[in-house]
Amino acid sequence: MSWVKSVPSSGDDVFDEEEDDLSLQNKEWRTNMEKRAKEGYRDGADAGKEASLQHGFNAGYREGAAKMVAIGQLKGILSAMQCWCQQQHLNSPLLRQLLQDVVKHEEAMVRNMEMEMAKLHPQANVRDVTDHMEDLAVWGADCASEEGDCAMKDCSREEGAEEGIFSSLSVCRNPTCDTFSLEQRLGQLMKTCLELVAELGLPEELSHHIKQLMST
Amino acid sequence: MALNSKSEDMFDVILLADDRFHVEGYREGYEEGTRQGLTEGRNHGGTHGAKLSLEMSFYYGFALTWKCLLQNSTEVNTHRKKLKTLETLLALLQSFPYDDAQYENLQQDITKTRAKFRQVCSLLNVLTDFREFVSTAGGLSF
Amino acid sequence: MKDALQLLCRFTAHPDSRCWYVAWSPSGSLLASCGGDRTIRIWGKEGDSWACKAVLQDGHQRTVRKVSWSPCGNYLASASFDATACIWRRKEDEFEIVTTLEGHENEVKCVAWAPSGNLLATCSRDKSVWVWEVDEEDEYDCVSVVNTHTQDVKHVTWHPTRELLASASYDNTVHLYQEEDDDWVCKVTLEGHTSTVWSLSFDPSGQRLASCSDDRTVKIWRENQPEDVTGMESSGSDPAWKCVCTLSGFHSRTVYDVSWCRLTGALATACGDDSIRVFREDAASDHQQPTFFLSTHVPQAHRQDVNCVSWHPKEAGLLASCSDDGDIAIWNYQSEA
Repeated sequence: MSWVKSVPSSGDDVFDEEEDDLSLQNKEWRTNMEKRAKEGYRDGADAGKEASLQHGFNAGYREGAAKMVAIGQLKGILSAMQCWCQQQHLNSPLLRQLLQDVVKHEEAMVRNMEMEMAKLHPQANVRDVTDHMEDLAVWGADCASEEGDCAMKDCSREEGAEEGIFSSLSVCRNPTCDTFSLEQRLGQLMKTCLELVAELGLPEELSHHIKQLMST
Repeated sequence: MALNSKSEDMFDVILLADDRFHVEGYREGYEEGTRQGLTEGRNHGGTHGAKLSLEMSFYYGFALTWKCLLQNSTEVNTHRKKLKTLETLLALLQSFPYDDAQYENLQQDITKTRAKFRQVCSLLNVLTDFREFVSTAGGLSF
Repeated sequence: MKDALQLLCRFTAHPDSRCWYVAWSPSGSLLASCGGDRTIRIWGKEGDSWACKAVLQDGHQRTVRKVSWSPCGNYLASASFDATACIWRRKEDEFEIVTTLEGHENEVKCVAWAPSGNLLATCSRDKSVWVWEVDEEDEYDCVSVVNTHTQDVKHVTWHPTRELLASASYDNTVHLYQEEDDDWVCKVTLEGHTSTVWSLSFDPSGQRLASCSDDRTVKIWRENQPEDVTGMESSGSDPAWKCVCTLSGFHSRTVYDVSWCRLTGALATACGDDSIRVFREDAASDHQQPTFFLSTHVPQAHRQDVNCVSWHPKEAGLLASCSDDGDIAIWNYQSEA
């Protein structure tokens, strides 16, 4: 830490005027303190990220998995029906159409999820390290405040509250109407599937399962 | 080191300040890092969970439907082998831990389930064009 | 008399193409070959020369990589890069397709009939090994798909007496499978080769397995029978296999095939340096640490890579080989011993 030495030293200064010398030292000192704070920030950001990634992954994994169960199953059901009908030489244009619709709907759901993420992702990175440094530098200059709370209240508020972060990020910034219509559409597709099962004279057991799927 | 008390105090102040700046920066960085980690982790996890669930749910719907169809068919006795394999596949799918991203045998179980699904397709005489449909829909390839 | 491999006959089997594999029928009266020309050819001895008895075409759309005779000799299975395996039924000198086995995603690399004749194994670039069951009506049902290799599976072979299946892969390992709860399960992984394992051959007793590799070595693996377990090797009831011998320094290129003679115990290899080598076991060597010596070496056995070597099942010392040059060569191996 060579910069520390420069503060109390006096003998071999190249500047004659004390005032200039002091302000220069002060400036240097500030620069170094900012540097330290930046280093700290970077270390902290790395540590915080490392500590929370897995936690976030697990929660996202659960959410993502739960979201896709119904559409995945519906596609499986219709694909099996399609194969069965082919083997029985039953031609049902309606079935083929419905399967295509379901495949499209699945794609739409995946796209929707990706879009939600794209909206979230850059937001988390918007604040650059230097933004915080300005706050820190102001606070650091008078070197007195015992209160450590800077202008970062908005983030500390969410600290440790996983649910809070998720809901504030996903709900408040994303209008839920998209999701709602996707869900409605899925319900319609399941209903059409149910009608088709009856129309093709397929087992009651299958209808029963689709009804179960609709109620989840 | 021959330092007088004044310069020692000064030194302490500087060291303290140095530490404090670092600690303060660290704390704020940690908060922001946590926020970013949760979001990024959640995004990654969401994608993985969704993909896996789509694939496994597809198998489940497929197997369950075939089971219903074969069980209720007039030639149920000729389908014993198929039904047995379908049951095995369904059992694998039912015990699949969809909510546990850190399940240690995940990869192994996925491999086993996919292999069983391919066996089922072979036994049901469901041919290649269908499997292509499945894989183009993104089900099998991750 | 010195150990030697004497050329009896050489003929063009797959003109302007590669000959990938040769297989003797169980009685030894016929030799089947397959190649890059999408055909399978059946050869029989007429006098001193070999004549083509049948050409099996229209079965495959791409290269036929390997063929395997059923133990009864009435069926021939073929594995092709067109992602299928075909089963052919023999009627005198005629062969007709009984069924086409579909299911692999891409190139089928090998097919092998189990000694019982009720099971068939296939493997593919899609990394999977499939076991098929045959019933009396020539119906083939897939009984298991095993996905334990992480790369292209090059070869499958069955144990000579037990229902034990071995596979070799581009992932440098050999896997051994057994049936367990209606499924075929990888019980043992043999690790040691440092590159692709191309082929496998059990010794006559089935206690040892030879593997050959792109790492230019041949390894001999021995099953640790429960009675000679010293307390560290074996886990539970599954006997462990371990490498008891590595033949290195003999081959200057990839070793593509290895064949262990059921009658004489001689070990032949097919190599990318165009040569054929025959090894024999030192009679005095310890069975826990056997030593093999190079009995004979034919440097220019073919004009190009030798793809396969196969010992005749009944006539001791008779060896067939085939090559990228499209030829088949028939050899007679004689040794002092």
